[in-house]
Amino acid sequence: MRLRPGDQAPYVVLEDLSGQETLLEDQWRSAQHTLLVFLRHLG
Amino acid sequence: MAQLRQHTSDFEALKTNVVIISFGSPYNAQLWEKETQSQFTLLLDPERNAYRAYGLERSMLRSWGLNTFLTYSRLMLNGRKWRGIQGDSGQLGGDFIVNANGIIRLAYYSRDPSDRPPVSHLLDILQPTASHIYLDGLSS
Repeated sequence: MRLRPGDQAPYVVLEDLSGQETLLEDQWRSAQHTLLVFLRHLG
Repeated sequence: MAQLRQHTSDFEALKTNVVIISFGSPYNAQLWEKETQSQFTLLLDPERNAYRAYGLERSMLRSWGLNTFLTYSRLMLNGRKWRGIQGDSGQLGGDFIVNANGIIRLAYYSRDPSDRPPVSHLLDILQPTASHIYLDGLSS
């Protein structure tokens, strides 16, 4: 389901390049705003 | 990405953290970082749980249109290397702006791989006086 402005951003777990799990919320809590860019792929 | 990089100082001035998310492998992610010289945080989502949670769609039809071939041709002419298809080539991307409380201020769903919101729109939304703006790649 698509998200809209005003919605709560989903809480998800991602990985850094060393394979360590990281919470996405830690990113947005560390700044006034966070721009999340979901790539199609790295080709 | 190149356009985002050109505005790194603008994002910093607007106290905005830029996070790139991919479902590529760590090896390819490191190659991509080196090739693009990206200074932004790059996180991986190999199972695409975040893609699903954010409502990002997949469509082979929309992923492999003329715009996609033109975009990849332009990138390769500018020196990018083609490393083949990685993962699900039908997965579409998108851009979201989230505030420090986790409230979404922008949700932009790419209609195809070449469709990204203009950086000027992103910067407008990040201005302290901006109200909520909704941009949708399918409706523009």
